[in-house]
Amino acid sequence: MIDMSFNLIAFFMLIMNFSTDQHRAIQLPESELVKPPDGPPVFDIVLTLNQNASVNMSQFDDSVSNIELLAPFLKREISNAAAQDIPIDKIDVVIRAHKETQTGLVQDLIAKCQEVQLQKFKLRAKERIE
Amino acid sequence: MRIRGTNKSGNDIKLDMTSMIDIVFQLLAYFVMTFKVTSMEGDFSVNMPMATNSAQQIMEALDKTIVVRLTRTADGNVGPIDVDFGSDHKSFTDEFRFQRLRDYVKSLVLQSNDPATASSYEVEFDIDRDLAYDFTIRAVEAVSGEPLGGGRIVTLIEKIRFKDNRPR
Repeated sequence: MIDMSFNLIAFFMLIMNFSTDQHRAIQLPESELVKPPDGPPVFDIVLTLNQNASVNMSQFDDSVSNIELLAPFLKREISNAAAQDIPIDKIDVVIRAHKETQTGLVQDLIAKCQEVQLQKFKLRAKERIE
Repeated sequence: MRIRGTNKSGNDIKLDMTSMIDIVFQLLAYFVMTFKVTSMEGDFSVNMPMATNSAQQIMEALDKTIVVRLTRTADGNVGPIDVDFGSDHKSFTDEFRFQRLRDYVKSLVLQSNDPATASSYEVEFDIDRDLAYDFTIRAVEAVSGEPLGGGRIVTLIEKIRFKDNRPR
C-alpha cells in the first residue's frame, strides 16, 4: 500500500501544472479544430492579451499596460532570435487573448508586431471536447 | 554476521511507520485535491506580412478572396455574417450562421477539383472592433475546416488575414 501511495504521489507530482497565474487568468476561446502542435516551435513569442489591453510576454514575465509600449520587448526578442541565427520570418507570434477581449485589441496587437516586421501569427484557442 | 532488522541479541527491531504513512497520505490528499484537468491548447495560423504587394498581385489575390464581415449587435452578440466573393453576396442571419458560413466556404473549396486551386482561396475578415474575440475565433474556425469526428478534420482555407480597420 505504501508503494502504491508513493507511486500515486510521483504521478501527481509529474503531471502537476506549473502554469503561471497569468495563464490561469486568461479564458481562451474554444475550438473543435485546434490540436496541440506536433513539435516545438523554431522560435516563438507568446503574448497574452488581457481584457484591459495589458499584454504579458510569457517567457520572461514581462508585462506592459498598453499595446503601444510593446515595441522594445518585441525588438529584444527579435535580437535574441537573431543571436541564434533565426530569421525574423521564422518567428511565430502566439497570441493568447481572453475570449471576451475586443477583436480590435487583437488587431492592434497584430499591427504592433507588424511594425517590427513580424508576420507569422498564431491565434491560440483551447481544445473543445464534445 | 548481523542480519538486517535484528540487533546483537537477535531480537526484531520494529520500525514505527505511522508518521511516514501519515505524511504520505497528507501529500497524496494534497495532490488529489489540487489536481485539475486542463484541456489542450492549439493554434490557428494567420500570415500577415506588412508590406503591400504589387497591383497585379493584389488583383490576382482579389479573384480568390472571400470577404467575411462580422458585426456586433447592441447587446454584444454577433450580428449577421455577410460574405462577398466576386459578384456573389450572401448574408447569414439565423442561429446557425457559423455553420452556414462553413457550408458556403466548403461548397466553394470543394467544387474546384484541382487541389492547387482549392488551396489558393483566401479569407479576409472585416470585423467590428468591439466584437468579442470569441466570435472571431468561431468565424476563423468555420472557414478553416470541418471536424469529421474521431479526430479527423477536413481542411478548408489556410490563408486568413484581417482587414486593417483601425481608426485613422
